[in-house]
Amino acid sequence: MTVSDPQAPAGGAGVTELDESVDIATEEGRRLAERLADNRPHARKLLEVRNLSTQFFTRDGVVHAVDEVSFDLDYGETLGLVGESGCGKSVTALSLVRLIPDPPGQIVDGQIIFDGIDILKLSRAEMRRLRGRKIGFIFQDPMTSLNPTLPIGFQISESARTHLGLSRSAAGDRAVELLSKVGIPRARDRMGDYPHQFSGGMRQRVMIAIALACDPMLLLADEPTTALDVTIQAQILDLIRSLSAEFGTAVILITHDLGIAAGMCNRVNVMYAGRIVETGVVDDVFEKARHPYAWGLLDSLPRLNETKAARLRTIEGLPPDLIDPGVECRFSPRCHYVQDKCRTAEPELTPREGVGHLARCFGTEPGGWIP
Amino acid sequence: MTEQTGAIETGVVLEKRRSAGLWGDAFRRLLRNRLAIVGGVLVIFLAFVAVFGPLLTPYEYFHQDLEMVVANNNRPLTPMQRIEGFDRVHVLGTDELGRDLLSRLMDGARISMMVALVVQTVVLVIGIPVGAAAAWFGGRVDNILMRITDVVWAYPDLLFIILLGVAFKETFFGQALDGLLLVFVAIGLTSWVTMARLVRGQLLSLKETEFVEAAKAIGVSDRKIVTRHLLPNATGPIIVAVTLGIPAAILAEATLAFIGIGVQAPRASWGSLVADGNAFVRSFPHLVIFPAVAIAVALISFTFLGDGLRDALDPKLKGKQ
Amino acid sequence: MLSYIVRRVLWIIPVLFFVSVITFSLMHAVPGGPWSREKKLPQHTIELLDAKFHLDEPVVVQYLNWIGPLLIITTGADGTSVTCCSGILAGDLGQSYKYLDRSVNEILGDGILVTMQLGVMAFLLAVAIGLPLGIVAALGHNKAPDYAATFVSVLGIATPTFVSSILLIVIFAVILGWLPTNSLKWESDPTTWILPIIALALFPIAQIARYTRASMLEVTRRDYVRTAHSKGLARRTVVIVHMIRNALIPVVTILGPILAFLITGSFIIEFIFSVPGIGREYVTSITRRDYGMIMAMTMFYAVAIAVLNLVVDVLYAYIDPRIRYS
Repeated sequence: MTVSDPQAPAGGAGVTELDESVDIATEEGRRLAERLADNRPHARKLLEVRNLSTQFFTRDGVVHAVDEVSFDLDYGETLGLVGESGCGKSVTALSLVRLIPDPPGQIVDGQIIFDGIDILKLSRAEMRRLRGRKIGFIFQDPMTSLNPTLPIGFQISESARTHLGLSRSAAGDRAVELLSKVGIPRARDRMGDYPHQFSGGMRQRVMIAIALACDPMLLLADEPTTALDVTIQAQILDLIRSLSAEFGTAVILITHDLGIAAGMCNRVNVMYAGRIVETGVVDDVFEKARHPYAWGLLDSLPRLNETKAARLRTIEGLPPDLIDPGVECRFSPRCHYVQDKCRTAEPELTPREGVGHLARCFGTEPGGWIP
Repeated sequence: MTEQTGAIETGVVLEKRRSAGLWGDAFRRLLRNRLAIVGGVLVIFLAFVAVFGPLLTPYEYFHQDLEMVVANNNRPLTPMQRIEGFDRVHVLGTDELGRDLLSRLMDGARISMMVALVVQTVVLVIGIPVGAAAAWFGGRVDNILMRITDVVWAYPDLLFIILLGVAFKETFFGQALDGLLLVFVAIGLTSWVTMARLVRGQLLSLKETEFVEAAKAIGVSDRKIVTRHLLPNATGPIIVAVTLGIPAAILAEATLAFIGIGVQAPRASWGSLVADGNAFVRSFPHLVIFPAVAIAVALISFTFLGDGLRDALDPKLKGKQ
Repeated sequence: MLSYIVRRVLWIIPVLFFVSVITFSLMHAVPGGPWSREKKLPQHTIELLDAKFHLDEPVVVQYLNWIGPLLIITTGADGTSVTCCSGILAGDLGQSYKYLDRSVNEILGDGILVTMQLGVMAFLLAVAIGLPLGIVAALGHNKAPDYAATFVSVLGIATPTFVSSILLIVIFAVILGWLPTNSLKWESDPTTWILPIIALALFPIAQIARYTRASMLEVTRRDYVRTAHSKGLARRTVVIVHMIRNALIPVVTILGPILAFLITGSFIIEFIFSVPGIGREYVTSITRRDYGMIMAMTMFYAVAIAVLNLVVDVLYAYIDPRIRYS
């Protein structure tokens, strides 16, 4: 047990080293110490996903919602999963915590290694211990994602009581702490309030508090701002960013909004039709995109300097039916640069310019026909 | 390996699927529901029996086959019982007066179908206008109408029916259809409240939508808005409510018949058949069992069908959320 | 909340007023009177009886007599005195025309207690069995528990009360002889309670089970259940703390009509099992045109239904935080 200098803080923002300044005699200090221990520079990654495939067995056929998706995530890193509705980004996130409804869904293949642990080999009880404790989840619609008949204080302290073994009052204190941290004024007074007594933005803050209650290593944020006003969006995103920086939490941010991804993420995975079609550091993907779909997305963003008469650019066509994806490149029906090669085989993720920058396109490969 | 969770996007856009209208979709969903199919088939069967049954049986429901009963020592005949010297048979047996049970059951089916029809007609005729008016006009009209529904709701149903039954028994109305019309209408008069509330609820939520504002702005008359725009949207829940209300009506009629109110001898509804058969239940249980089964079949079939309709028309179940 | 309750309570008064007016009118619209018997009484006798019981006065006056003036001012030898209330407002339910020497209060008094006992016990049984049945069915959706519970519910709704009563009597009282065949000895012998309560509760059990099951299945699909799982809570916790709580709220709304059914529908049970409650008198007092009994019993049932519905509505508003705190 180390004894700290009474002048120094027990541990908080800014403490990056597990040294004498961290007072593990206090609860906060203990948590900080744990977190720092978790986030020490590792040889391994926080998350290694290999060939993850999740399918839904429906009356009309087998839906290949996520098809051999592979990616890594570093400790403390923010990764974006970007794509339009139905591309499989939410299913990917839910697969990571094994929350796919079975029936009709199932993770049929792949490997998920989280902090050295093989997720798909865990028992249900072990998986439950991970959820909430090491991995937090923020869902899209805070109104329906909160239990309307329980006070929010209870909903926040639930995971602390379950995973950290805190007493009711200790968990309550922690909940108050979290509430103020996420920006709810007069937190202690509002502990007994119900979700319907909060505005949309505040509810999402409560969701964030719930997700971070046990100081998880990874935060999965599924379209956290889609259901909110634009002005509130910015606040919530700022909150997520600052909290993840403060606590060293890795974040997987799922969004269809490129602007959000650009502002928040270190790296980005662009998904289409259940596959990752481009991945890389955010600057590389945005400035040096090498996949026609990514171009389409970037191109479709309305620009301030456009004339009013110009129509919004869209990508023609619709995403493919995932029940029987063929052997072709899934984007080929909609691609301006399509060639015969694209219709007979599907490209692999191959490197492009920039560290870790990969794209899935024959045309943009070195020697391909797209300049 | 995985847990049951809340709604989730499957991540699929299906190009191949034709998008059918609300009814096409609902009908297809209904057909997949096995219980609903069973219910539907039984309902059709009951309707068939009600309409054609009495024409198909060799006996009429009031015909007393006293010869066979006397030959049986003045006892009711059991199903398919053969008596020496007679070459005819009563498929389900007879009562103590020799009346063929099967024929009487079929007549009972006729009565039950009439109950369903008349009661639900009354319910619709009163319930829809009251509910629609309350929702559309709001304010005092709504208040008054809702208070009226409170009074009807608070009124002990059976007492009202019995009172009406006794009060109008001697009138023309009371004699129509062997005294049954009166009872059916009375049952209807006590049952319309849920329909009125349902319609009111549906219309209230639709009233505030923009297409109503638009219709008003164009100058469509109130009545047209309600009849052409609002009510059709409430059709689904109304159909479900009508179907699920039929078992209650049949049950009410059966219970009343059991205590002797409504149907008069020699006519018999299933309820009165049970009452008559009760006296012989130990030795001739068929007199109670068959009518009871008939009642059960009717109740189950409409309930399953109603449940199926409700599931099929539930917008929340359309695809995955 | 309080103003809501007060308003609802006040509304009961006009409702009861109209119920009484309707019943009174219907009663007097029926040809014949309490003296109609198989053997017609001499006209002279009828007139005397009518006069004695004020049945010769206009209907409106009779109604007012029944309600009773709020104040009675009597001027007697020792000055004027003012007393309050006679008629129904004083709790005087009036005169029974069948049992001429007893007031309705006396006749109904014991019966009401019995009827209430029957109804309440059946209600408790229905809730105690129906709720768990529905919950279990939903949790074991499309598997054995669901099929079993659904089978039981279907039986319940398919069997009218009078049919199940007969069946129960035949099986348990006549054939097996385990229980008495009727409940005439209600007050002294508790075993006479068993069959009537079960028979009465069967239909509500089925209804409650079906409704609870549907409500639970609805709740299973909700987002907040997914949130609960994402927190890593044990399945049992998710079910009990998050799901059941939300699922039961809508179920409360059907408890009102069910209680109403149990109270007004119990007369069939009382009829078949000879339970000494007030239900037995129900039908006979109508056919006998016993005005006093009819009015009293109508008002009893109407009050019971109105109060029960009020209690259920208030309960519903109370347990749903969205309504309570808005």
